[in-house]
Amino acid sequence: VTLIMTQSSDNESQDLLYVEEAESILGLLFRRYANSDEADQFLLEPIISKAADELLAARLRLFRRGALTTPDELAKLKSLKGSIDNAADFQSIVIAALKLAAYLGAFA
Amino acid sequence: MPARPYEATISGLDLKRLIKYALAIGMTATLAGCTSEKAEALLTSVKAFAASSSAAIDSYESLFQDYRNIGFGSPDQKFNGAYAAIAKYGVTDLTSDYNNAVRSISALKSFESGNAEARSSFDEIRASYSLLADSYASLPQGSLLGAKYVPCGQLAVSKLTQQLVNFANDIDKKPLYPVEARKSYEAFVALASQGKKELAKQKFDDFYSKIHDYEIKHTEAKRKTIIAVEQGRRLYTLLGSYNSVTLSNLLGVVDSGFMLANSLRGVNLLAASNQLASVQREMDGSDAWKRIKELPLGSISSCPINLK
Repeated sequence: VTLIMTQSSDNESQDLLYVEEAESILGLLFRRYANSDEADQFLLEPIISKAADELLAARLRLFRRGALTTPDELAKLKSLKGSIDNAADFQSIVIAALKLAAYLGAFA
Repeated sequence: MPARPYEATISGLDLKRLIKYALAIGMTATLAGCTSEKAEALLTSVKAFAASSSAAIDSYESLFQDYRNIGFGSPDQKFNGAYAAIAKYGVTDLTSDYNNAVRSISALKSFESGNAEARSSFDEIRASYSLLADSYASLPQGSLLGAKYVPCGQLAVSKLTQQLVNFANDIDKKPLYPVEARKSYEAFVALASQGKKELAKQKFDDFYSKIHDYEIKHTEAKRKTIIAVEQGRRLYTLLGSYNSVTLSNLLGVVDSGFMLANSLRGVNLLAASNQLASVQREMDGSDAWKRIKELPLGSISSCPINLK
């Protein structure tokens, strides 16, 4: 119930899920970060920053314009979360973090 | 990206076009019912609405800026990390990437491309509110906007008011708890699982204060929004019956801001949200507001539109 019409309310709640998903992936990255040694932390920092930048930009676009995402994009994000959960080595975490930034940045 | 059926925001450009149109007609219109005192009072109310809207938008901007700020330690920690990374992995694409290193250092300061985007977005939003105030600036002198066409401004006021309600709703549905709160929380979890109670306590305190500080700022943004929305609502009503409104009606818009500011002092986040929700219910329950809500901005610029 906002200026965005009722027809787009599905999109709206999907956008909320999308943001929640992206934020929780960032949480996972911070979890990996907290459990890393200083070498890995150093390497993760700029990538986490990049993902946070893109998340800020995505939230800003939602704030300004309303619905942004499609079901497909939400699914992509969910699968990314799984890949961070299961990442066995540092390299896959880095790749997943870069992917998160890229997905979020796709709305630019 | 899916096409959005309706734009939720009013861009400065659209508003400019709308106001130009209103002015052009206004100049050739009669000045019936538009005394200069009333025009002066109208201008004052519009300015009050623009100023309180701008104050509300400032506080949202500050929430967005805080959302992204992540601190990643001191220069010494940076050196130790960079050194340890090369010692651990050798010289690789990742460990010796110059751009990564720059990015890593610059994250120490609150610069960042995301924040620059935030700043320019908010400048644009604020511009549409000050444009509204500016467009009435010449009314007392020459009554450029004939009384008959004041309702065109009414449409702009309503769109700008609803936009404020939208902003508040957006942040309510998904609060902008700073990303850094997650960092503190995850650090707490890691330390607690290692049984390091003292260090874990520090991180938990960080986490606690970040959430708490955020909620204070969020509540403040809500209070400011309620004030601006209330002024916008009154202005909207008065613009619709400009010929018959009195000076004190118009100045009541300004007063309502002061009175609300007083009565809202000490109101908590939940109460502020409830107040805004009731405003929204009222808007949703009114046919006129509903019709405006459904009008795309493009059709508003073909003023005059019959709202009745």
